[in-house]
Amino acid sequence: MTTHAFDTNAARNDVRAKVIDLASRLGHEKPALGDDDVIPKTGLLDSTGIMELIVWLETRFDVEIDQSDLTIENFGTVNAIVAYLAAHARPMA
Amino acid sequence: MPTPLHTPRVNNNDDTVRLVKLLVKPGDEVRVGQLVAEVETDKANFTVESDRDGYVLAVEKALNDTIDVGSVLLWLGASTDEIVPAGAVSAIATASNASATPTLKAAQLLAKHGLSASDVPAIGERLTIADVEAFLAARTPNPSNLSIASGIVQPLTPEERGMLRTVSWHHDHAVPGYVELRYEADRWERAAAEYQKRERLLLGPLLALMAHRLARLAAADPKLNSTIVGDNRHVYSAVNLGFTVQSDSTLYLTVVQNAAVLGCREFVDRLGQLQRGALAHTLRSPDLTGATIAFSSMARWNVSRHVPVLPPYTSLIVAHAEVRGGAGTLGATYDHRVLTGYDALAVLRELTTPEELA
Repeated sequence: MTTHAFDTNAARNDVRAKVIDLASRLGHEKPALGDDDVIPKTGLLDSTGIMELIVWLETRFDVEIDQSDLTIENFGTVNAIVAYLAAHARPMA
Repeated sequence: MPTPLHTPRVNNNDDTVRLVKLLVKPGDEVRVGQLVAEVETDKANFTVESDRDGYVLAVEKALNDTIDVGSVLLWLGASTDEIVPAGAVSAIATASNASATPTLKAAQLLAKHGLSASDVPAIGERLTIADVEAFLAARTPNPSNLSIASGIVQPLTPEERGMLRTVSWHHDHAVPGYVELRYEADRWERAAAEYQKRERLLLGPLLALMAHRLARLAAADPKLNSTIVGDNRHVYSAVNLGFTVQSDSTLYLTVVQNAAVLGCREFVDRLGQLQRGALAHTLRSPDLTGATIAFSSMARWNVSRHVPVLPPYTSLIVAHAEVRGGAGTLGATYDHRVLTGYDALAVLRELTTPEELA
């Protein structure tokens, strides 16, 4: 079995695209998001939208996210999310 | 006080289960965690445990009945002398009497249509699929006899059947009233922002904090946490806070069990777990059953007013709506058999301001 390193660039693009997709569904027109923008402060996603993002992250990256890990430090920005995923995602077979 | 043990949900897709084994009878002493019954769906078997110590006062269902998730399975009491409230059988549960035992195929068809064995007359000793089909054929209106345009008949999904049962209970049993008031939202928003910062939360906790406040108000005034059984008020022994979560096309009523005894952070985390479970469609029976009071928000969709339907066997559901220009709207649908408009308004007044958050 071989393992592949976590692809941070691909993950960053995926996460950013998902946030923008969720924001679009909430009625934001052409939402823009920088990788260090604090997502809750951008107003793009409400609490349920962020929850939807968390549920998607668990499925997309095969990672279990503990409720107590849901902090701004871990999930506040695209870059923070990618760093968390890199540390917690299971190696790809 | 007699306490109902409700029929659990086995999975998200089945609103009914079949009672296949009864392990206790009236007069038996039971312990918390003791198995009292076994239920099944087409896909799974599930054992039902007692949630407390006590004595079995009455069993509301008959073996092989197809029964609604959330309906009363049996009553427990602290002693065998306690009396199940008169009318409990007809008021809360669809009781069965000496109905014929259905064949497996008949039971599956009954479950598919949300029927109980006692609803359908049997020709022979067993209730057969032919009996059920004949009953359905007689019950289903022939479109040609109705003054409606022609079309096709479609069976409801489990979620749609659940909604039908909820609105039917609201319509057929409760006597609903509705009140609302406007309030200045800034105190709540400030309190929630401070709490979020202090607890380093990713998610805004406003709705969770309001729902927790409602649970604590219900604990302080048990009348809010009750329903009508026969001619009596049935006061629940715990506050189980129902909270609506829209996930794709499914509306879940998630339930925080024993919500009033949870600390603020415990409640926020528990509700967060339930919301995640709803969005992932992975909730289990205890996550969805036994609500005794409820909270619903449609602020997310900028809804300025909504009049929610009462979940079965509750007397109050609070409706939170959008905040515009610093002013918000809180509404409440209440069961007028239990509460007055003044009672409901008093709750809303209390809810307009946060208590000191521990």
